This record gives sequence, structure tokens and C-alpha cells, in this order.
Amino acid sequence: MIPVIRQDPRFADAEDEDEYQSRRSNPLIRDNRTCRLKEVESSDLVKFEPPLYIQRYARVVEHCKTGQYRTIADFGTAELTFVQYLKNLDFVNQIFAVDIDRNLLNSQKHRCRPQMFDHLNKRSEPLNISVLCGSVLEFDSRLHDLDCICAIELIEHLQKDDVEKFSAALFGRYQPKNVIITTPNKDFNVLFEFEPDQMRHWDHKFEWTREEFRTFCEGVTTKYDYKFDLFGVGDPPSEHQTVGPCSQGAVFTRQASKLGSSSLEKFPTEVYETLYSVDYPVEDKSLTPDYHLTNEIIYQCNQIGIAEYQEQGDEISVISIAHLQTFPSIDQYRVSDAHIAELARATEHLRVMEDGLSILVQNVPDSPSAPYCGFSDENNDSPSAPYWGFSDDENDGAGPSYNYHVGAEELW
Amino acid sequence: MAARGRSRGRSAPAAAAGTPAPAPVGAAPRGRGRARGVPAAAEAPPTQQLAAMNIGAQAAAAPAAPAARPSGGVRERGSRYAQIVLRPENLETTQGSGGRPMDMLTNYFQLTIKDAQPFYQYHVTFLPAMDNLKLRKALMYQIPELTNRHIFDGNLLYTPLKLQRLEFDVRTRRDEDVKIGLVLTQEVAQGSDQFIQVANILMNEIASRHMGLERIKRDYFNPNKSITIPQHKIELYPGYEFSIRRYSHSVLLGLDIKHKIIRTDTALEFMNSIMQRTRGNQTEIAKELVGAIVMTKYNNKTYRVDDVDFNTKPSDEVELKSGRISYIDYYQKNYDITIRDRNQPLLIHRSKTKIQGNQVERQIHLVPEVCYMTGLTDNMRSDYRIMQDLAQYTRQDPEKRHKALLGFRESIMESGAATEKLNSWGLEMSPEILDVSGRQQPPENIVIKNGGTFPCDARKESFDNITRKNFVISSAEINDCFTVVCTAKDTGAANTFLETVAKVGPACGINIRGGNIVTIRSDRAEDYITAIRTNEAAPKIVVCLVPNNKKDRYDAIKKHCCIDQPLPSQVLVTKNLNPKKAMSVVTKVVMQMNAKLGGELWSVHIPMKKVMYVGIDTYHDSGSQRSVGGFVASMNDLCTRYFSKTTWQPSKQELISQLEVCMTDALKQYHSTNGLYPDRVIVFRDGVGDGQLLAVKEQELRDIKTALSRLPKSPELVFVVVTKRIQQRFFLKQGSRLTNPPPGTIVDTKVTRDELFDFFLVPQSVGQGTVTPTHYNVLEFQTTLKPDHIQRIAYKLCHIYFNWTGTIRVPAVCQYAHKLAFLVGQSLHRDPSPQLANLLYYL
Repeated sequence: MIPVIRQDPRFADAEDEDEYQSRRSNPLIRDNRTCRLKEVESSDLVKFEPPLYIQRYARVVEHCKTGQYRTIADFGTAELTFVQYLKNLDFVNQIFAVDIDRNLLNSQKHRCRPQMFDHLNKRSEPLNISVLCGSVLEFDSRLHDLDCICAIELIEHLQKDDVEKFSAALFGRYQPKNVIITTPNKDFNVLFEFEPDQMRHWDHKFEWTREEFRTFCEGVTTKYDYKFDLFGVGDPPSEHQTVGPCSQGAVFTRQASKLGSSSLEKFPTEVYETLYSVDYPVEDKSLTPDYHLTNEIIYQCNQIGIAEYQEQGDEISVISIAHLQTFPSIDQYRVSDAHIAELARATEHLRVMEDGLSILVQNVPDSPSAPYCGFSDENNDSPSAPYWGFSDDENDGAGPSYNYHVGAEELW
Repeated sequence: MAARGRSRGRSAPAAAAGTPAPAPVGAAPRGRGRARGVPAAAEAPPTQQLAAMNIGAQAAAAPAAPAARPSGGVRERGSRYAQIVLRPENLETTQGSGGRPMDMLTNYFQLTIKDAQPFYQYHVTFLPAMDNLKLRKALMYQIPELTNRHIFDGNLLYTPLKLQRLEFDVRTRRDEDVKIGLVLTQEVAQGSDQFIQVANILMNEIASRHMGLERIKRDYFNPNKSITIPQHKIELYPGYEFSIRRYSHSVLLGLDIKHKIIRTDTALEFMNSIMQRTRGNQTEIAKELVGAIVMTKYNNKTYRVDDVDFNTKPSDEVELKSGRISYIDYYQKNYDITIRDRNQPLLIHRSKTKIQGNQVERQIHLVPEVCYMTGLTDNMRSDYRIMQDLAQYTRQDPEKRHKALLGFRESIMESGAATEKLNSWGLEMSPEILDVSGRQQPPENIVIKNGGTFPCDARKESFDNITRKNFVISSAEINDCFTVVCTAKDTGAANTFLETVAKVGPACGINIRGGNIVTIRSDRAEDYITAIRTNEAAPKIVVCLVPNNKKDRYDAIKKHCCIDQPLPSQVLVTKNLNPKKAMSVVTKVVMQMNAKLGGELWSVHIPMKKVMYVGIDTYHDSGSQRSVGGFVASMNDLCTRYFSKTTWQPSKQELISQLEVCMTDALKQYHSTNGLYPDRVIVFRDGVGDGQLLAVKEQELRDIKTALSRLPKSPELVFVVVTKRIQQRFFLKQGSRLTNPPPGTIVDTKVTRDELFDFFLVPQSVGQGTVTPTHYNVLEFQTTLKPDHIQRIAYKLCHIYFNWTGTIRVPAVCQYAHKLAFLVGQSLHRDPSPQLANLLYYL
């Protein structure tokens, strides 16, 4: 969590060591601020923590949460960074990540695949993420009538002439219930001490003042059936309040709750190329709380048992249900002791004492057929008992590998 | 082999500037392995100097150069596929011929290129120079001719295409014009090191991109086919480990079926459980967590837990460059994760990173709630329930395994993109796994009393029934000179023990009867030790009946009897003396006691005489900073008497540094026992990884040779490295079915390697699953023996481990060495008394 120390503050925003080093050593980049790879969003005067782009994403996610949007598209998704935030929202069912740069998408598309923890901690709601390649000026029927389309720092990369076409596609054809647009606030640029006409990023075609952005928003609402609310991200330092926030945004809300059924957009026109599509693992809802609780009881009893076996050599452990109830993972089910006893009774490995207050767990296998089981010197060699006692199965080499041998290489 | 990784980075800029580095003269053949069977590139590459810059040549030129910071896939892996010649010189053949031939399959696919079409290696320059690696890689996609059929590490480009045009103008996203220049440096022939490298990169790409597998370390797993074992909070991901290598037959893709064990509990849940179980014992929590690997929820990274910080909470603030922020706010703002438990302790991970050349230790605090546990704890590993449930899935018989192996190929074929990738490089994977022939050695006869023999059960390779006979070769004179120490409660069991001993001992031919009992007040370790120390009966061996498997007590007794008061000892859990088991348990114990006192149980017939067999193994001491080396040497022709010694080396070091002393002592002892020095010394070294072979050859072998050279007549020397954890599996063809190969199976073709003298031996049979053969790698063979001899000796030695009436996975000397190192490392932590050196007290 401690940031890497970067001696040269000019490149302190480098994403990793590779980029930092290469920018520091490249004469082309060193003396030319406009050639930076990253957008300028901080300077000696203003610094944001967390970085502004994270604050911006967080702000948009906040809107998505409030609106409980289930179907969301991210226009100009680039490295799919924003998708990483969206996919953690448990109510979202569908995410479209759209960009025009095929090479970039191809190299980044795997970022949105389910990670190990998505498999471990399965979602309660299904989620599909699709990575689509195409121009946001065109129309693809799959994205029609979504809950929300986000265009984060996208519009300023469009040629000025295309802004109108973009509005037409977005508000006129896609007609999502909500639109979130963010763009730089030119008024704020004075704090970056730019040269005349300099913009925050080499690819920006324009940057709007607050007034210009408001004009754009009002233009939209007069033409299309939407209303809008402005917001800002990245407050200026207190002595420069007049310049407004570093980044400005608007949430547009469609006024008609239902679209006319005559709409042509119903016909499937899939102009975007699907580069990647993935379904996230979903939890099995058919499993009852009792099923989970039973497993929790077995797990905790085994853990207690094996620890007692390791420490005191107890081959049978007696665990009071009252004690089990103190475990947060069992307590959360809020069931009676009698219920726990009942669940334990139904298992294969646990037994319940006659008074119903304690559970018995056997820590070594009860197999009379294992003739050589357990001389103390023998734990390592006895075929039926290679896994308890003091055996280190990574190294076991002898006959012990007979029966219960799982190759050590199959373990972590 | 790690040391062989060497960056080309240093010479590359020089080449780009027009002054190619000179070719390291004479180094190339060794590094590239061209000398063996692989034809040198037919035509001289256009620029000789640049050609010399391939990995193989550089590695050979500077084998000891430290690995540079890896920044490209090709670069880092270069070291893994450069093959070192470790085969003893002047060998006519490394193959044996004895035994019954058998047809088998092995877990390899053959990999060929259509029409043996070579790949091409180009050196790439950018003008202006591009320092950003990502940018360089991205720009290569703009060369239309390549059509994505290339692998580029930033400097070197591999492609199956012979390009007509070598200069390209491209443009960055920021509209900068860049000239890319290519120079053909080399044709990569099928089977060369670079070919292997490229093939590995391609397969890795196919596995992770087109087969939907997740890479974990070097293996690939399929999380979509996970198996849940909820009662243990475990998920199993089926998967594969594969590597492409050059073997004596051809280039092969070795494929092994693996299962990754993933835990589904978070570190916080795990800590809470321990907390409740131990009623709030912080030391216990730290003990269980330190050393564990956790995986974070938010960035999928893994961290080793180095400490648990009970004094810091997520609501505490941490100093960041932008100011102070609490952990809770940090996670909320940066990852949109809400930390629920505000009072949990934090985990600490320490890592060393280099910042501008300076080593800086970084300390990272992790919040347990957002960390998943990975791997099994020691407790889980010793839980038979867990291991049994896991084995159900992880243990696959030959039929199932074969199916899974073919499934790998099928899923490549089913994926259009994967097939296309292979096709575009002209790579072909054989449809069936590789045929391999093996030879079954004849079953051995066990040598017993008065030179009699006893047959092995050929199928199971065991001789359990031997105990029904009066069989022992020689008995220690125990008679009534042994004492049983037990608590008053267990006197009944002790009497049962004495009665049974008197019955089964003489039946096996062991002179033991009578014995006395000493009762103690409690089952504390001190009481056992006091009883042993003050016992006036002066027994030859002491038997401790203990109520359970508690480790401290066992350690204390062993410490006392191996160091303070050298005396063979036998520890036995009372429970095992129950009427159902008593007979068989006591039989084993009596045999073991006999062996511990120098009695000889059984042997195998080895025609060769005057040979000293040596076993070496290492054990990494759990508690201390050192690791233990066990050294065991046979002292007679029957291989029934052994001399042993232990050595210590700094922690985690596999290499044994005092072998010269050990060997000299063993030879002295051999001389004083037999009145002469051995004619031959055959060393079996266990516990060496693939990467340490060269070091073993250069250090341990040298030390042993030094010791041998001091003798009047230096004995013949054979030095063999034994490896148990290997990828290779063999399946015996029996009609249309596949089964495990029988014990005694030898394989020494096709999957062996040209640069080694190696073979595989299946010494044992398994009840379930697929048998893992043992790999033997002969590093020294200064002898008149033939490969056949060493193969047979290896198998024979697997029969004579006194604790097991059957064959074991490694030669008995190795297992003895392991037992010794294990006892010393786990329980004694100090050298045992030299007075015991000629006894098998560590059994």
C-alpha cells in the first residue's frame, strides 16, 4: 500500500516502473510536457488523492448504485478499467464495453474475465460482460434501451463535428434510461499553468468550460426527451474556488418511462463486433441455509479435532455445541443448539452425544483393516497412516506412498 | 539452471548502434546443444555476429552471470530450455537390455513441424529508439506481413514467415513516425533451443487465451470445471502442467494432470475460527497464518503473510503520499470495497524491491477480510478426512488419466483459434500419446535365514507372509534385556506386549522374551526420561508405551535416547495393542527392535561383492535456520548393516557441504568392519531439484571423489540422483485397456534425454490411481558396470527397507537417509550420539 518512491516528480504519475523509467530516459518525452502518455490531471498546485480518474469512476459508480442499473454500457472503454468497477456491483446483469480501437481491446479484453475470487465468491445475480468493437456514432440494437450508458472522458476525443452525431446516436437511437457523461473543465486549466491552447491530453480535440458544457447539455434536452443534472469531480483548492471542479459531468434521465413500440430500433442490427464475451459464475441458489450450516459445522469440528489431535494426540474430540455457537460463522445462522445437533446427526462423520449437547469427532480413521496403523516411530512408514503423525508428505518416499498418496505436487 | 538466465539487454543496444558484439568463440555448441543429433543450421545466417546473440550461446558464454531483470517472455525463459550436459563421458550406451519387453504409453505428445519448416529469428531496431517495451510490442502489430504470426520480446522477433521486406514505417497513436528495421539473424531449426522456447510460448498462449485456462505459477487450471468440497472449504480446479522439451527421440510435449487446491474462506473467517477454537490465543493465530499465502480480492495478487499486527485496525490511519487515510476509507475510495469488521487485526507482508538500484524493504498491511487463504495448512494436511476426500478426485487410474490427457488435445482441436495458431506456425501435435517400450525385470527373491529364499508376491511386490516363517538372517541378542516404560494405567497393555513379544519374536527367529516393566506416575515426557535414566536393568533397548501421538513427548524421548543417553528406543502408542491388532503390530515392532539393535531381517541376492551403497537425503528443519543432511552407507555385502552420519547446512540449502568427511568416515568404518576398502561405491542422492544438478555434480561429486582418491586404490564410483516428484507416467497396454506397469518396469528410451544418462523405474504397485515412477539420473559412471547393472541394483535395493515388507519408491539407503535426516531435523535438532552410528536407531 506504500507508493513507490519516484524521485522525478514530473513522471510521478507513471503507472509502473517500466513506464517511469522509459519516460525518464526518453529525451523526446523529458522536455515536452504535452507528449506525456497520461492525461494531465494534477500539477504542483493541485493534487488529487485518490487520483482523479479513480474519484471519477467512483462518482459514476455511485450514480449506478443509486439507480440500481442492471444493464450498463461503457463507451470508450479503452483498457476496460471502468468495467472493473462495474462488475463488482452485485445487481448488474449486463455490461457492454465499447471502443473503436481493436488492437487495444484485443490486448485488454481478457482483463474482464472472471478472476479467481469471482469463482470463489460467486455472484448472486448473473452477469455477462461483452467487449464490443465499433464506433459510438453507429447504432447496435443490442445496446438499445439500456439502463445506463456511460461516456467517461470520451466526448472531448471526438471531432467537434461528430459531437452532434454522437448525441443523435446516444439520445436519439440508443435511448438509454440514463446517460452519464464526463469531460474536463477548461476553467480549471489555469491551475495547470498551461501554455495558450494547450490541452490536458494530446488526443483531446477540445475542452469545454463549464458554460460550454451546460450549453451542450441544454442542447440535448431541447432536442431529446431527457433532463439533466450537473456534477463535478475534483474540487479546486479553497483559494481557487472560482475555477470549479477539475472534471465536470452530467447525468441525463430519459423522461418517457417506456419507448414507443413502433420504434425501428427493435430490428436487430448488430454492427459491433463481439471480441469477447464472458458469463460470470453464479451461486447455486438451490442450496439451503441448512446445507451451508452443515458444512460449516463439519468444517469447524474437523478443525477443532485435528488441532487437538496435533497438540494432545486426542483421537476423539468432544465439542460442545454451545462452544460452536460462539463461532461467528455458525452464530450468523441463528439456530438452536438442538437444530445443530440434528444437522450433525445427519452427517456421516459426526456423532452427537446422548444428551444432545456435544458433538463427537473422530480424528483418525477407524479402520481395523489397517494392520500397521500408528506405531509412534512408524507414522512415516505405515501404509494406512501416512498423513497424520509427524509425516511430511512432501518427502515421503517409502511404502507409505501406497494408499493415501496424493502427489505432493498436486497441493499448493 | 537459474543462474544461466542472462539478459541480452546489454549487448542489444550495442548491436542496434551498429557495433555488434563479437561472437563468443567456441561457446556455442555446448549452449545450443547442437553437438548432439540436432543438425546445425544448414546455411550460415546472414549476419554471423548477430546470430551469436541467441540465448544459448550467451548462456554458455557466461554461465554464472546473474539473471537480469526479466522484461520479456522469451528472455526470462531462455534459461529453462538451455540444456546442460550432465551425462558422464565416454559411455557407449545408456540403455539396458535385460528383462521382458512391454508396450506402454506415456504422457507425452509428439510435436513436429510440417515439412520441417524452420522458424526465423529477426533482430529488431526502432528509429527513433523506443524505450517503452509495451509500445515496441504494440507497434509490431502494425506490420501487415506478420499477420499476428509472431512472438516478440522487445528485441528479437520469431516468426514462421520469411519476410521479403525488412523495413517498415509505422505510426504511433500520437502520430509519431517510427521506422522498424529487421535483420534476419538465424533460422531456428526444429529441435533447437530457440525452437523449444518458441513452442513453449505458443503453447502457453494457447492454454491461457484459447482454452480458457487460468495460469497459476507454471500450471494451467480450469476454474469453470471446479469441484467443490464444501465441508473443507476447498475447491479443486482440474488442470494441466505441461512443458515442451527435447528428448532423445524428438521434441515432446509432456503433459501431466494436476489439481489445484483453492480455499474458499477469507483470512478473517479463518482467523475467527482459530480465535474461537483457541479462545483468543494470539500466538496460535500468528502461528497458523505466518507463512500462509493469501490472495487479495481486489487485485488477484498473492502475498506471503510475514506477521500479524494485532495492534492495528482497519479504522486506523496510514500515511500515504497524499496524506493520512484510514484503511477502511482507502479500500472504499480505491476499490469500492466496504470493510465490515472494523476491529480485525491486519496482516503484514514484507517485500524487498529495488528502487533505483537500492534495496528497500516495503511493508504492506493487508486487511484479512479481503484476503482469501490459499493452500493447505499443516493441520489440514494431517487430516485424513481432507486427504481422503481430495484423493477421490486427484487420484486417477491410468484409464481416466489417459482420457484426461486426450481431452487436452481435444480442447485444442475444438478451439478454432488454438488450431489456427498451431497451423499458422506449422506445428502438429500427435493425435495419440507416445508409445514407449519398457522392460520388466524379473521378480526378486528375498534372502532369509541360512541363505534360504522367499518369493515376492509378483503382483503387489510385497512379502508380508515372510513373518509367518522363522526368517531373520540374524537376531540381535535381546533376550530379556529390554524395558517397557508406561504409566500405571497402561500396565495391562504392557503385559500384553510382553506376552505377545514372547510369542511372535521367537516365531520370526528373533531372540527376545521376558523383559521388565517400569511404571511411571504420569504421561509427561520428564517422567519417561527419568525412568529411562534411572533404570537399573541396563536394557539394550527401551520401549515407551505412550497414550497418544503427542509430538513434544516423542521428541523429548528421542532426544534423550539419541543424544544424552545413547540407547535404541521404540515408542509405541498403547491403543495399537488392542487385541484385534496386537499380533501384527507387535510382530512389526519386534522386527523393528531387532533392526535397531543391529539384527538383520532379510536381504536380496546381489552377486556383486565389496560394494558400499550410500544414500544421501536432506531435510529442512521446521524450526531452525538449518537443514539436515542424512548420510547412510552399507557396511556388508548383504546390505543389512549401515553406518550413518548427519550434516548441517544453512537453511533451505539442498547441497551438503561436508560430504568429504562423511565419505571418509564411512570408508574407515567399512575398512574396520571388513578389513578392506570397497571395490565400488554406488551413491544414491535423493532430494535434489532439476536446477541443482550441475551444482551437485560440481560440489558433492567432487567432494566424494576427493575422499575416494585418498584410498590406496581408488574404488569405482557411480553417483545417481534419485527423483520422486516427476511428471512422467507410464500406462501398460493390456489388450484394449490401460493399467499400471508392474513393479520392476524400466524405461530408458524416448522420454530420457540425450544430455543425461537417465532411466525410469517403477518399483512399487499402487492400489489406486496411477503409479509414479522414480527417475534415476546417473551423473558419474566410472565403472566396469553396464547400464543394466545399475538398473537392476536400483530395483534390488528397493526391497530391503526393514520397515516395509515390500518394495519402496527409492533404494533403501535413500529411505534410511531420509529417516535419519527427518528424525534429526524434526525431533533432535542436534547431531545424534556417534555411539549409535552403526545402528539403525532412526528407523
